[in-house]
Amino acid sequence: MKYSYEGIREYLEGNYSVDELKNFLEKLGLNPIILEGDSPGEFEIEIPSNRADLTSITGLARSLLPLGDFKFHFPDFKIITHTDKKLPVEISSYEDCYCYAGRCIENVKVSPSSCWLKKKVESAGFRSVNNVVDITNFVFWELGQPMHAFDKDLINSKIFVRRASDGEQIVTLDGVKRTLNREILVIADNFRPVAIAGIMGGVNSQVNEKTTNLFLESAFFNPAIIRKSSKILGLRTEASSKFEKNIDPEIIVTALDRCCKLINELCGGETGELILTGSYKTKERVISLGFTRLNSYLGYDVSVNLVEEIFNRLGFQTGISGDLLNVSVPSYRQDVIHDVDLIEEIAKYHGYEKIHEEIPVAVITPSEDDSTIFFINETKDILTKLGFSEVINLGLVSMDEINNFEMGNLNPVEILNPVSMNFSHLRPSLVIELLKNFQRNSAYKNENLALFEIGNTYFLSDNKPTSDMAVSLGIMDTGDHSGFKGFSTFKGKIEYFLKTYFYPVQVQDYVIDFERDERNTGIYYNIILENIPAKEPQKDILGFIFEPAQSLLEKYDLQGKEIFISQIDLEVLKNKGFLKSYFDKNKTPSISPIRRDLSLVVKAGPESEWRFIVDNLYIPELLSAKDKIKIFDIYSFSAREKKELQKKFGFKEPVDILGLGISIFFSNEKGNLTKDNIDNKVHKIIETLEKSGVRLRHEQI
Amino acid sequence: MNNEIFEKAEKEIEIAQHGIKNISDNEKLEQWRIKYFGRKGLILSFTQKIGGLPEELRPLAGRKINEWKNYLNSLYENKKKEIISSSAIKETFHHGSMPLYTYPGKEPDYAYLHPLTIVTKNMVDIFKKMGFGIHTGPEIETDYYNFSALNTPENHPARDMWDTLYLDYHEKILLRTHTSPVQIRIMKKIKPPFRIIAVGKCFRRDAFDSSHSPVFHQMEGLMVGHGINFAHLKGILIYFLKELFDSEIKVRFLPAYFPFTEPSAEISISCVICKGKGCSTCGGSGWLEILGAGMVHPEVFGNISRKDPAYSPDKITGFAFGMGIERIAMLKYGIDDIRHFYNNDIRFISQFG
Repeated sequence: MKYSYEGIREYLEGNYSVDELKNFLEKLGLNPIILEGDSPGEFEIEIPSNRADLTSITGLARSLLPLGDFKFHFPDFKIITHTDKKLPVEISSYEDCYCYAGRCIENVKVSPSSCWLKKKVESAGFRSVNNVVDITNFVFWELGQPMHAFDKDLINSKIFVRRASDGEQIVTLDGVKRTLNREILVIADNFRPVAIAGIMGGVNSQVNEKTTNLFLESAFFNPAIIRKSSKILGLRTEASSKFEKNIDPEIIVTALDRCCKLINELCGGETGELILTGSYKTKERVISLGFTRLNSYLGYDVSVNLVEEIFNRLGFQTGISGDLLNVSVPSYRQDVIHDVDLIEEIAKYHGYEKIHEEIPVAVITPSEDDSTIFFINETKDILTKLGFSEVINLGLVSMDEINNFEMGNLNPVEILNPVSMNFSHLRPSLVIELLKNFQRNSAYKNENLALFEIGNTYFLSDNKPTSDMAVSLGIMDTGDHSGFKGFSTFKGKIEYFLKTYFYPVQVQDYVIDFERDERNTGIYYNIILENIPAKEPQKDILGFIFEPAQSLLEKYDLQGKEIFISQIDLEVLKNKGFLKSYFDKNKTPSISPIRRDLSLVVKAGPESEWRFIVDNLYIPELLSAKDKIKIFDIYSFSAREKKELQKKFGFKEPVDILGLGISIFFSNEKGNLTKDNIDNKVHKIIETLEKSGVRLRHEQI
Repeated sequence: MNNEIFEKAEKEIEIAQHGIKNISDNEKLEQWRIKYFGRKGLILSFTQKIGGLPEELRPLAGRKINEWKNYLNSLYENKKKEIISSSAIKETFHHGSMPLYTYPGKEPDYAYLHPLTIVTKNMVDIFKKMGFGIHTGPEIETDYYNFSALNTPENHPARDMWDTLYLDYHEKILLRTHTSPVQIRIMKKIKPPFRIIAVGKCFRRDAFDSSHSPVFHQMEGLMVGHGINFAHLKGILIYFLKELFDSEIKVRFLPAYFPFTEPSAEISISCVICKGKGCSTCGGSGWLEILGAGMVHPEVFGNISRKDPAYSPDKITGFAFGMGIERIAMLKYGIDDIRHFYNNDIRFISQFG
């Protein structure tokens, strides 16, 4: 709402400057905002939604009374009735309209407003229309009651306050033809709606230069109905936003009379008798507040006199009985319901700054943190250690972006009222935005990136929107451009990452496997976690590594870049993994291990067989948990070497072979680390390997 | 004649001993090695001559060769060690006359946490010192938790304060507009007294521009117990803000309106940029609004106490507060555009590790 120093002065007499007025308002939490182009005494105030009383100049002036030695001027509303003309009013439901008041005014002269009135309504933010309409708006601004003037001669004999019927139509004052329904409350005559109740009048009953007889309306509608109607129609007006809040029911007739008085003064005419349907009188509200409670609630002692003075100045009646202060709340303060509302008034007028600060003496309640937070923080630490930097994305994507990835049945969650079509869905996968992050960074020539994000993915499960915590990791151009190196570096990091959750306890318990799934948009390498010791080996899909196809990269201006993005389900990691630090004696043997390197020739087959070779050696008679195997090299032979080796080992021609270099570190202290012992073990290992088709090229001691 | 051979060899050894003294790099040392140990070197050529010696001299010659070989070898090994230890200084950092030590080093691949993570951690740490527990809640919420239970029933005009994104109108499923629903979830789970904070993503139907984002992060706080009062709210928050920003800042509490607290307050700090003098960051006022807080509304406790009498508003009181993490990060670091947080440009992210 727009107010001015001069405007307030007319209703609040006293000795105060513009700056002092601003300080008063600020103290009450009504931060006055000075807009560009306004003169120094003009300002805007954002009125809290519970304080309908402050949306009028009299209400605002009254709220300042406890802050100084002021005199409050309430506008004059005494009228003399000259005619007995009436218009019958019927309210179809008092649930929809609590009270409807009106008066007829005969023989008015409608003309453009005088300068004074025009200036008043325009500075209050209204457009000047004519003297009658301007007066209704002026009274609205002055007393906070929205008013409406009809051309009485255009109303057919009776006023009905009723719900619209479905499909009923009205052209509102803004010239728009609106189709109504049963949710919307209207003011109608015998034949048709003449206004949308509490929102806007109709053109069919509009006051115009030919109007001589008026019907003035001042009513109190159910705020929820007005709010709903306004939402359905997509039409918000000053009046509707006022009616949505609780207006002061007892001002209805006062405002009507004030309006009639001004019309008589400025437009002439004779005012008719009051037409009143329903009741505007409210029940007396008395709230009791214990002083003990007041002081313990604020944490400081306020004097009884001060409290009483604040309320009396605000127009609240007070009485004291023992520890209790009984406060009778005036009808214009619909927001005051509980004793804490009274406490707030006291704190506010006394000043928040006067309340001291104190660190509470509290019972120690060992805090039970949500384990998710610990888990996420640990995971973020692991990932930064692995060289990935964190990103945070909105999580809002478009359907087109989702379709770019062909991730299968994702059942994405749609936002019903999105801000824009770019943000129409919740992300079903973190990959979508991570690729966009690479696009942006690449545009700025930020090269060699490794990024991760931890956040929710969203999908429909049984048609219900659901979320799942996930992590996504991605690299761009961090390998050496030979293709395989980039992938293996990335895969190595993913494996290391997963091992921190699944390997610490028992090396043999979990196996991480990869399955290839080729799509048009790229290749998905699904990451499978197998729980071996379970009676029936359990397989969980932990996530995937995605290698985007060039066609997809082109859409993101990333053609020619080497990019891999992985997404891993954090819920599985959290529920099945073990993220614990512990000490394993086996991993720190006190003797220096003995190393043997084996150069092996293996059939080039699915990747998982490589791992199989290594895993197969961890059997009690060969290797213990203290011993360690490392693959240090994977190499392909030249054509000549290949031929020689195929011949030497008797592989049949079509079988492709690869070289694999492994190191074995023997540390087991129990089995004496003598040369004979080691030779014996290596011999057994070679025998085991050969049984599974592996050949020994040479051994280095 | 035979003695001459020995003498000549002895002389050669002397020369070798002398020659190696001046050697200071591996290349020359290798030349020296080849000269004495190579195919045409002293040792081999002398060995070849043994055959031509008289029978009785041959054992002596063999012993001599071994002696010389060992001696030269020890000279070689010592020199090699000397070069390794000295070359670490001379050659690694110098290439000819170029002082390589002045050249830029090879940077490692650093990794950074997002500034929102860093600021959140700072904030959480301060509350942890005061014994607050940390909790989370779902981003997909129901109307009940996000609004109704927080004293904002349907058609309440205060709902306009939060422009909401909906997922299902019929089932009233929405994206939480603030972290306050966690208050209700916590009170349904644990009994008072307690003090907790909650952090998470929130959503509003806002445009994406320099000062608005449809997605942002909030930190919520709630302390409930017997005799918790407004002075405590001030004490905790002033301590928090001074720890987070600077012990010199001023903190201002002004009245505000939130449906779920009464009395409510809006808290500002003196501008961190101009120290309260007035600048463009604080819009000339010298103050920066930083969080909303208040005493928990009895209606909110009432909603819980219907099932759990421990929350009867007659028995307990409490305070709650909420703040935007982006806003705090922007003020803490002087960031001028909220979109920086979500553009994820590594040049931005890497400034905060």
